[in-house]
Amino acid sequence: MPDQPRRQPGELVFSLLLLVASLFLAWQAWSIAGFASLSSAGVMPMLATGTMAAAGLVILGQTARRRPVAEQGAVRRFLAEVTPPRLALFAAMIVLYMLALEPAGFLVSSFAFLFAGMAFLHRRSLALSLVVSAASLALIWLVFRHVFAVVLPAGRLF
Amino acid sequence: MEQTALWFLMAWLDPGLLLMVAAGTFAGIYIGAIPGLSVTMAVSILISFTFKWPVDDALALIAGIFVGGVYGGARSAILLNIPGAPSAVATAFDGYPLAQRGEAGRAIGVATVMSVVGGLMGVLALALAAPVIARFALLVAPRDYLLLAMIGILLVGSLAGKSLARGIFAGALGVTIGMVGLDPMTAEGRFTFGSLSLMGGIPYVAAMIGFFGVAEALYQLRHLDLEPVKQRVGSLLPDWRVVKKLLPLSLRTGAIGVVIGALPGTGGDIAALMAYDHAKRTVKEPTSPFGEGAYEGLVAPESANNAAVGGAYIPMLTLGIPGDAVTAVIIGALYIHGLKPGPLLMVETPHLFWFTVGSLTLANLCLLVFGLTGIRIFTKLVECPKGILIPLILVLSAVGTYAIQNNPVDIYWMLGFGILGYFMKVYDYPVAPVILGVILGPLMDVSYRRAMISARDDPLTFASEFVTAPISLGLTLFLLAIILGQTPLWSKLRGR
Repeated sequence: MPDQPRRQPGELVFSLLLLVASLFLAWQAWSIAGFASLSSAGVMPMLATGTMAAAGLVILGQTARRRPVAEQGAVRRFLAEVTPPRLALFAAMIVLYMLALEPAGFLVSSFAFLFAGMAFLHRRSLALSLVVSAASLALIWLVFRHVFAVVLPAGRLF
Repeated sequence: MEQTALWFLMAWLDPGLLLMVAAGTFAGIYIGAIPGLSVTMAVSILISFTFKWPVDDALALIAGIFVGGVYGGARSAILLNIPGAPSAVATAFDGYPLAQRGEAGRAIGVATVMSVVGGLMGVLALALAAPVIARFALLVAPRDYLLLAMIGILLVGSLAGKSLARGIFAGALGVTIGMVGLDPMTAEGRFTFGSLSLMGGIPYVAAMIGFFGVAEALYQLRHLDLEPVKQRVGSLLPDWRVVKKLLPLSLRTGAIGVVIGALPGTGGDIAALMAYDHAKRTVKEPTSPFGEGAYEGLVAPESANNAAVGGAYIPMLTLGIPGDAVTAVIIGALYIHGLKPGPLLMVETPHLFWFTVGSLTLANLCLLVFGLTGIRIFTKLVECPKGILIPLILVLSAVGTYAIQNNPVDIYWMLGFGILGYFMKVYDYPVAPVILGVILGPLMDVSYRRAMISARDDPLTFASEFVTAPISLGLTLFLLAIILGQTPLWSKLRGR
């Protein structure tokens, strides 16, 4: 099959995880009402998760049949191409930001995230990152808090 | 008639609504043009802020952003060879060579005028066709809604992605997410795992922002180091002789855009590619060879993708079925405002329909003004580095998700969906069917159960109604044709 695209690093494991998750959800869907009635609350969940499981099985078969991009070093390639250090570190920053939103409040956590994120990703000038993050946060605060009247996390620590 | 005209002119006569449409169109142009920001992402985030607004204000703003955003993608396609939106992919084929030839300003001018022509055609089609389709839609039975929803999800899945199985998986995943919470008919818990916070379901705005905002932002990190190409742009006024010469092509491709946009599940991106293909096949003597800066190759996709906007509103307002990913998100907005898109929307709230038609018309006129001006500030903003843009997108995503119910759990959902969406994008799973599934899942559930209850839980009676009722039979055949068309069997048959 010369036209088949190569299998990307981690793709087979991802397909397998999706299939396992689909089967688990299908079992959960069955436990809602079983096959008590064809119009019960569990029928559509069973149809949806059953479809997921069937499609997941087909995808797994298709993925397994494709040749990998590289025969060896799949883990190293996965870490380098799918979750490169920059993406992994930035994702960790996002998780920290989301966790800090409630205790630290919107202003403090968002400023810290914007400044750190821009300094980390843009890597030109810290002063520029500081000015842009402060100015954009001020604008976001004014527009969303005062114009759109959106309630933002106030923070428990400050 | 007089009442209809007043509803149509509401956005034109009320300064506040006029401002909403104009601001939406202006913002949409920039959102659509800046690589990394998409109209779907913007509308998803915007919905979370506008749900407390009067529905007219929210609809006016969204109409402006939709129209501006679809056009805005063309500007970055011409200037940077990076389509700002999926619907501008075909625009880059000839737009960028035109810019390289030093005709960026004229190309943007022609693209603007033809986008407006296409956009107005779409609105006209919406105004003429929707009332007729809505009357017809009153005859549609619950099982037909089930079929229409399945067609919508399948079309988005099969056309947006490379594999039917992945499209089906994504759609089914969305339907499953849409099932989480208490069953509205029996109050039984579904996928709640005994958690109180899951009883109310997963807010689809969190899913939308996660899959379209966070996932896209993470995906953009893989191409952070690409430096944008800078272009010098002259006057934006088009050569009116070129416009006059290309008007027939614009009208033809605008018609293609309307039809493709009106099909559930197909949007501006497919319309633009089909229109480009049509132009390539029918224009014998283009201004330059296609792919090397032909104005025909610019006009066709731009007329079609803007015409598809009006087309996409047709199934959304008449059947409650989204025409594409953006209208799927707009349906979410209508539900948030307590409205139920579908045949009854036009019966119960006709003013909203004509107000939408008026807002879309106004947005197209605003597009003409904003599209032909303000290029200097535009080129500066479009070159905004992604390293600055991505953290801002994430802050806006967090604010938008939190604003819905002031619940931090929603932010964790958004993040989870964002990470899942990132891996799905990396491994070529389309994410648009997930959102369609989330929104249409409850409609499918209710439609299926109503149809089954009316068949007294008899599977044979239930199945026979799909082939004995004419509308159901047509839709069933269409659904089967979509599935068959994506299988290797069809490829083999075509090969013979």
